[in-house]
Amino acid sequence: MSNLLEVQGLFKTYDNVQALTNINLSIGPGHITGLLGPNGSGKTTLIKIICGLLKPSSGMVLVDGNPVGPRSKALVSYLPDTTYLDDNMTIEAVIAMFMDFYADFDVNRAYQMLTNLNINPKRRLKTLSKGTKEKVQLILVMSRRARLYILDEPIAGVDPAARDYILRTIINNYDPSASIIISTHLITDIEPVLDEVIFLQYGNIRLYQPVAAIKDETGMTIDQYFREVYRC
Amino acid sequence: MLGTLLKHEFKNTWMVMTLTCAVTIFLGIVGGLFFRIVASPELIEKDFSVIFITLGVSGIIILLTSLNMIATIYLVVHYYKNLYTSQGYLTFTLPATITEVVSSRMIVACIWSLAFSLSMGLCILFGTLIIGTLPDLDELREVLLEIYKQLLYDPESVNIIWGIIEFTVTIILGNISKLLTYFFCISIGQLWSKHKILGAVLCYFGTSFVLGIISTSISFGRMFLYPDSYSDIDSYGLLTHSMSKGIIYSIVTIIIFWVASVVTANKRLNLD
Repeated sequence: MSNLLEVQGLFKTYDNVQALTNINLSIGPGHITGLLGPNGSGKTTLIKIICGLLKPSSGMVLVDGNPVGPRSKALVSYLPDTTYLDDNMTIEAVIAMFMDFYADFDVNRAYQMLTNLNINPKRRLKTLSKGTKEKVQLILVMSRRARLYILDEPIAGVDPAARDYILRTIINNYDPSASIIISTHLITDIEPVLDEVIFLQYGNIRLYQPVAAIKDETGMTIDQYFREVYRC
Repeated sequence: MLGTLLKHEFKNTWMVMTLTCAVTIFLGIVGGLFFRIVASPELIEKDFSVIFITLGVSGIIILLTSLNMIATIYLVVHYYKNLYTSQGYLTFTLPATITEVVSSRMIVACIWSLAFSLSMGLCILFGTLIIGTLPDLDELREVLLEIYKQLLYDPESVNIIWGIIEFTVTIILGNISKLLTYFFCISIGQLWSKHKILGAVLCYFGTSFVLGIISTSISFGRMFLYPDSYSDIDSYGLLTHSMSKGIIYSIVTIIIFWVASVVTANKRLNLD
């Protein structure tokens, strides 16, 4: 089976600082992958390059065989670590926009999730709290039937009760032929849903292994192992 | 995809820009009514009428300038926010090429700039019509011909309608060229890893300086180098000649800044 995401020889340099160094990775369909690492390890840079928001210094990224461009963007559903919607828009208007741009957007699923979280779709985004905005963004992203979901800190700004709902949403709403990459510092919360993890350090892949293998080899949880690997 | 991008860009900008254009036209109507009253035969003789007329003219000029600034600032800030702040995370992950995304923002901004220029024209037209002093074009032509007879060699060559059209096109293209200069500078500002806005501002100063030299050279270079070559051109000819050069200059700068903005975004997109 071909890989959903193929990254080969990826380098990114900012102002003589090497943000990513020779990143090579392949992610097949049906995987939930944790992209983990301390601040400044290159997680967001890697994600932005895959999504086409940053140009790499060199290297290649293929999403389902497509180089980064309109075709790959139609396959990737990206949740950034910041609010990226126009505050003056209503939730309904944003949903209408997603329907227009993404053929894979499931509007019924979006409204169902809004109802579950008691969010009024007629409200303007500027009237919502930060946490609610993040929930709306996650709903939009997970309402797509995308091939690859890339979630950058999806649960960082929400309360613990909402985190459970969000994780359930992520698990219940992705197609088994799709894959998810989740970048987060809240490892304990997402650990139960992960199939494999990538540890990044100083722009290099330090480890890329299935969760089960790490647990078998070390006898530690991913959170414990992370603390061990990145001990200051 | 470009059509969908344009549709949504219009949806995002129509409210502010339609309101700005409507206020501009409304200002012409209100200004016209104001001048009609203060300049009426009954009041025109009174001293305060002159004061009111002076204040009214100054007020309208200030308001029109402010509205022009509001429209320009809104379009520039919208372009910047939509492409190069956190909103860019959505804009640039839409399933479209970067060229389509950037062009859609520029096309809509140019159309609004055109609409605003036309609403300024309507403001002046409505104001003048209401005052009731809009001279008949033939009458205007006669007046101007009288003036030109004193100054020009060939008054019959004066074509007022064409002159007005040329002037309007010069203003509209000049405004669009100015807008695209801002967009270009914003794109160049993104090449800075930090202080992107400062980079854009510095780029604007640099670009304005270079454009100033180029436009001055185009306008007056020949006059300085070959002063005799203008000896057989009358004032009207000089004016239309200058406007024609202005139109070509604006078109060239529009194309250059458009292409440069698109290429910069394509080659060096850098959403930190």
